Amino acid sequence: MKSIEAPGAGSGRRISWRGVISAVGPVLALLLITLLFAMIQRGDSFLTPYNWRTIAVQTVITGTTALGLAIVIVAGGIDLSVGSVAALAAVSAGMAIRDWHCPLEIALLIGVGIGVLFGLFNGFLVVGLRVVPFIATLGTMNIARGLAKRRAGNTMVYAYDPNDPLAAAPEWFDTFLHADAGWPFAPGVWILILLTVATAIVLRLTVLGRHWLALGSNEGAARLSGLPVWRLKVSTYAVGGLFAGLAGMMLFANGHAVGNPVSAVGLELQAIAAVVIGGGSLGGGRVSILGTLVGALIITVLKNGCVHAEIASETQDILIGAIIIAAVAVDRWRRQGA
Amino acid sequence: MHFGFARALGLLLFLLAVAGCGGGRESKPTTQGRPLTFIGFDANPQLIAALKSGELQGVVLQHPLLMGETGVKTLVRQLEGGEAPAEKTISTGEVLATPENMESPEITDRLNPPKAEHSEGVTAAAKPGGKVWRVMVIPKGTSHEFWKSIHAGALKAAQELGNVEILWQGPTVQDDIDQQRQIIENAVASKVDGIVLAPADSRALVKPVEGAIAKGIPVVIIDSALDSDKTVAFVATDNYRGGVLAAERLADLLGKKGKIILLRYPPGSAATRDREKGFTDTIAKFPDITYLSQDQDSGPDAESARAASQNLLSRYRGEVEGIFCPNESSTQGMLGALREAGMIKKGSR
Repeated sequence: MKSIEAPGAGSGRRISWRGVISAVGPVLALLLITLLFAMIQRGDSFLTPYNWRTIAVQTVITGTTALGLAIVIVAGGIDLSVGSVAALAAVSAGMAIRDWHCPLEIALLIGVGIGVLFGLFNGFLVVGLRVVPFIATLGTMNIARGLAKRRAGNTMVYAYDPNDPLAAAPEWFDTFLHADAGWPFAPGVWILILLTVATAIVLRLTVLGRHWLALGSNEGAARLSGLPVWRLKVSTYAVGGLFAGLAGMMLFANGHAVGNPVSAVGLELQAIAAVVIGGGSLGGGRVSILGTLVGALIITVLKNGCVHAEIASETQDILIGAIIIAAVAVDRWRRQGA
Repeated sequence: MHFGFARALGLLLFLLAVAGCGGGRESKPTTQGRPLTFIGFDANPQLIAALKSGELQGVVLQHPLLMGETGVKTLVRQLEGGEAPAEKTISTGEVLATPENMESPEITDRLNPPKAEHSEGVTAAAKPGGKVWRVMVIPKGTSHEFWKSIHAGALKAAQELGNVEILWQGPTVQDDIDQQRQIIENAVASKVDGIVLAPADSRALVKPVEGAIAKGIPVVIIDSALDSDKTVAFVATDNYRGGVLAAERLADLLGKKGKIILLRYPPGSAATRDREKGFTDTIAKFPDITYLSQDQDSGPDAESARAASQNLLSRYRGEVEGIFCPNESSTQGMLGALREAGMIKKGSR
């Protein structure tokens, strides 16, 4: 079995304790947080299966976005536009159904396609115009948000007329992210698990994935060894856009086929937090796909747990901020010693 | 090799912990015989449908069209040197729509107010030789249906007056105070004749507003109060009374007894704060109505409200008997979460 950590982090023959901590770190953190909330909860509902199924569906959108972002980040880039792109994709899918009377499946493809297009556009800006990724995607973040609002006429896009009982999204779509739909998890959660496995396989077991890692570890070396650097870069942004489009379709499902142009504000930051909590390095070259998923889960568990512990909303924000800093601090300590 | 193993072991432990601790606790009844009572604030097509189907037992409705119209007309009267309004606070009224009364004409008008479709400013033709007043109307956000109706009201006033150009500029994120401040500053810089503002914060925007007034640009406040006495007028729903109406309806349906949740809107907005205050003050008169939770906020939009609601419902499933949400996005998010949890059914009453 191939190690899921980046090369160099743990190729030793002896068991390195720091290595073990780095591998299970995020999972351990999740366990600790879970135990903590289990102890301080005021009722007895935190550890019920229903609550964990709720947490699972709440993780899907952030998790999906974070997976795509993990690929962008491991290759040394960043994509701030994913939240806006997700909203634009949701609005576009809604309009495809409402105005063009597309079948739902086609509308979903259109939405995902918009995500990929924006990803390619990001790649073009970074590679073609040589704008640093942070700035390029900051720009497209605003462009995508503006387009979403403009196309939607600045309001919600109802794909199906709420007053028409005959016009409604199909059952599977409506309950895609319902905690109660499916056993043990809703369809959306299974999709997230599948996406996680697929991303991990592509990153660890394919030539493309290896090249992404190489690019993120040392761009100069990658160039010298003849890797097609610009194509690789564009491909990571396309993947980021693809996942943002998928996340947009999940937003669309979660809103019961309503495209909201101002939704998912700050989704990109949550996704970045998930990648970082999961052990990814913003400098590129190192990421954990499973860790990213666990990172997204940690964010959701924190919010959910605070409600069960009857901690007010304001305090939740402080807690989440502290956890992000702690995760990065531990990560740094771990790498210095490794 | 061992890293994969350690990781797998960690995950296994985690799953065991969840399964072990969680087993056997799920068999809570989802309702305790009584149907859930759910009261919201403001309406949009989905909420109207929910009211019709009996999933919502009431929404407090405002009169945004009148608010937008009165805001602009009051401002223009001031610009044209007319008398200052006799009362500084002008109430545009609030009513409770219920599944029973929603077919009555006065309610249907309020449920489906006209909405402006485009966000670009609309120029009204000037009377020959007359001055065209350029009025900047600044909502708290642009996506809620409510603001579309405010916009329609402002345009209606412009059309009726004939010499007003409406410039519509809202922050991209609902309640973004900094962006509102910038819009006000830009309005001053571009020398508009007057401003109609729905302030996202009752204090943070006092300075920029008074700055505009000092430069000779009169400001009418709509929807949500501003802590300043230099503005021309305050045109708004009596939000406190709106909260009272909601609380009375909830208490009535609960038989003055029950456990309830108040999902608040994030702090800052005076309108939602007053609604919450009207609600809690009224509920305080019923000693047998107790809160399960009243310290959670919904976040800025329907998605964040939905997540907050899911967490609350997961915590208080089987206990909660009544819910109040103080605005459109929180009501919308809660409705989605309640449906998902199977806690409300169409035609349950």
